[in-house]
Amino acid sequence: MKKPLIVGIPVAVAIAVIVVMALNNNTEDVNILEDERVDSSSALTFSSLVTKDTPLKGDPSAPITLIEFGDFQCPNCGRFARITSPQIEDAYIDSGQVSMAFKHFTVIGPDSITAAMASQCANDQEKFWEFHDALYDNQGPENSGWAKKDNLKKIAYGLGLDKQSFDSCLDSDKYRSLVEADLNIAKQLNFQGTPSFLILKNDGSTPQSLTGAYPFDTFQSIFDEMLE
Amino acid sequence: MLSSFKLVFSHKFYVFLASSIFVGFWILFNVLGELLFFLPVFVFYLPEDAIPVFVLSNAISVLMGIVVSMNVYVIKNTKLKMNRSFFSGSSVGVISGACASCSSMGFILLTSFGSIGVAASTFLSVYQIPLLLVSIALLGWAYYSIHNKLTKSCMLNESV
Repeated sequence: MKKPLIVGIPVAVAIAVIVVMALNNNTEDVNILEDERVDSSSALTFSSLVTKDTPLKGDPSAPITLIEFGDFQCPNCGRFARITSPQIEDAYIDSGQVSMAFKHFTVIGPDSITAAMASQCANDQEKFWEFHDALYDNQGPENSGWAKKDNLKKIAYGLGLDKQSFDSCLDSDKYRSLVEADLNIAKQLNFQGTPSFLILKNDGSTPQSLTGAYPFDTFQSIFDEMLE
Repeated sequence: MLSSFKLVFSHKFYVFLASSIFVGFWILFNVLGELLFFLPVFVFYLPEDAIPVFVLSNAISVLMGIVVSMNVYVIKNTKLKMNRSFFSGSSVGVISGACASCSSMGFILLTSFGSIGVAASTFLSVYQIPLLLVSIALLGWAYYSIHNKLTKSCMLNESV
């Protein structure tokens, strides 16, 4: 009787993982105020989440805001940035229907935090999205050293960022607290992986959350439904 | 090499078992690789950068279905022990395939296993394709071994 049990182990593990992942990869309405770990001042509104240091693409008064919680070392975030994000930009951001913000969900390693801080330094010079695209276009394997300070500086200089300001900003860890604050928001939202998304409608209705590098079609159906 | 395959899969039960295992692992690998989504709508999505891992994980799913079913056949019909290469092949396959999206699970690994979890995730994602290839080789070896057991063993008791 033991042998069939041994055979069943990999199958049982597979089924268990499928169930767990199916539960995690979902979309759901989010009400952060119901979470006891979050104080009532942390309401999920555009103004509370998109502050002056939050990189934003598109019209700030767009009816929908897509907030990505991403990590520059995450391959699936790279896939989203390279494939899906440009499609969203063409179809919804350029037409003013959706704006897109980026928050840092640095889970992969210390270099993720360095890359996140560097991107905020690029944001100081209004080149966040160029830097964001350059990082994802030149993304290397996780924690392999490609996102260390020296390489990040080279990428920044290649984009024409002011060397002195960028170096000063990155070397002083100016944005460490912001990056940590973004990570805390992601934890409070119970996001379990990168990339995760929060989709806010400016009418105050309950936001939707999504975890995973979903294809454009999925975002399209959500946006179209919210815009109706 | 085909004689043992025909011997086992001439029985409908093993065809069903192999198909179920294949489908289970196919879903597992593609959900973890963020190629298959069930919510908010059912979506299967195969971008170009995911094709190599998709092909390799499909090969593992097929081999897992065949090798597990053949091992079950051996267990039910002989007194032979399970093949060690099956365990090593299947476990490497599952682990490396599952880590197609270890980065997506970084938060879970970090909170569950701390720096060790992140180190494991990093290793498995960086060496994902070599690990998948090793897994295929081990499963191929497992198939060859089980084929030998079914065709050359004097202990085989053909009761089916």
